[in-house]
Amino acid sequence: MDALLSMWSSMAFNDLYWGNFVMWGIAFIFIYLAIKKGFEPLLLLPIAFGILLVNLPSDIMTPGEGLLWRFYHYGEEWAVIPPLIFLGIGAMTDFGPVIANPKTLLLGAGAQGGVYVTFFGALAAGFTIYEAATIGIIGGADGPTTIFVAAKLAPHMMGVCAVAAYSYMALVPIIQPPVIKLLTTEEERKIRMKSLRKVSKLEKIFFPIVTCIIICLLVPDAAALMGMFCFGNLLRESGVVDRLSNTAQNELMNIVVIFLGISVGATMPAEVFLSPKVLYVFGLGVVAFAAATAFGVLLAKFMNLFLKEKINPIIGAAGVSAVPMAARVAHKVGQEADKKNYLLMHAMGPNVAGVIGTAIAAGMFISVLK
Amino acid sequence: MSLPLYTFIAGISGVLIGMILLQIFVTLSSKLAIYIDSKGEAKEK
Amino acid sequence: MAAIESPMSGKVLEILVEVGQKIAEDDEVIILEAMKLENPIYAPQDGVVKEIKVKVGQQIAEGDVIAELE
Repeated sequence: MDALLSMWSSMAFNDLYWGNFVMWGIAFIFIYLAIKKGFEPLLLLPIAFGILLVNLPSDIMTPGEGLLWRFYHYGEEWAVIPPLIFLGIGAMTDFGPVIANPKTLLLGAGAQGGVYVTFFGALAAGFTIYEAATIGIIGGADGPTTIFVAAKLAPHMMGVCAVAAYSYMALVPIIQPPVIKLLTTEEERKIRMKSLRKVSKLEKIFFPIVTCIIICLLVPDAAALMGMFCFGNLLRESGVVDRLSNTAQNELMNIVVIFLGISVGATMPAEVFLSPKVLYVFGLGVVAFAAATAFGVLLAKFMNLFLKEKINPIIGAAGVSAVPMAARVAHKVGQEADKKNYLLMHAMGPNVAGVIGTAIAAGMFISVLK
Repeated sequence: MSLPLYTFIAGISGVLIGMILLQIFVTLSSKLAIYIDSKGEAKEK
Repeated sequence: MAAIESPMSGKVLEILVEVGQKIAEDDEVIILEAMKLENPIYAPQDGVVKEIKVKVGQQIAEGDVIAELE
């Protein structure tokens, strides 16, 4: 009889409570969204599974011992993984459109307005300033940056904010078009932009070097993210280290994303996730994306007051750094106004500039608040 | 001033200054790159 | 005679017209893939297709001639 009791107590069934079941449900929904609906599956699936695992009572997230804790500790708490993802993203990114038209860098800045609207919204909702900054960065539409800021300022928010960020990134095609159309006239949406000039290889080599020096000196707290980003980009553009560039874009990214996903998911046991604050975060997340879109578009319209060659304000929305989704959305909205207006490459400029903008915003939050 | 306000002002100015500086230096470095390339071509000719 | 130039770079996924075909402005000529998005490219004017200068699977750049019309 005693033997049976001790067997029972070594099983996890006893430690479950209702919250765990809710989290299982959430994990199953995410798995469904990832597999059936294709919602950012590369991240959502590992995250979903991490949520499931951490809600099956075990040592897996015990500090100092658990497997997932080790992934989390070395990867996120030590903020190693997000910069590695940026290494891969830098290796995948073509900055040609930005170099050809450097004004688009400002559009990458504009969209960060959404970050601050959300920041104040979160403060108003009662979050601490550290939490508010982390929630605000969701508006930058950049998963690794969100996780990076969370690790430095509000680790307990990491899971929630990461899930919010990735969920809304998948919803960009739904959130952005109404905002864009609200703020622009059809005439403005029909603006054709001059073709981008060809950018030379040497220019593409200078770009990551210049960017690295300037941003790391201006915002040292963004050095980890931007440094790796520029490194990856240089690997790509140098043309002499293709095997490194390919590894960075493929194998390395895949490995890192696996660890990232599952350990971020594991930061969401029921006790942490099931609080009303989470609903606020998701609510603020929509605000973040919509506001970022709005600011990007408005800044483009403002710039047009001073420019002879007008920018199509739709591409301002692509300053929201969901690459290349926001650029695709901009392209499609442009085509609705004029079938033959091909904005995709023009929109890629602000889109990749937005990644830099969000990294700067993240660095500034960290430098002020740490 | 309050911390949130300071955070906001620091953040937004950091982003804007960063992007403006970047725009200036990227344009300059592009001009340099184009110049170097054209010198190279002139030598070949 | 006029040339249809590509307005953007991408990979040719599908060629939707043939030599000798009469096409009108805004007809779909080819489909280009860029940034994992399928982009139909439309004819800039009416005409008859004289020659198609690209193949399926070819990577083309902005400004490359897709087809010639007369």
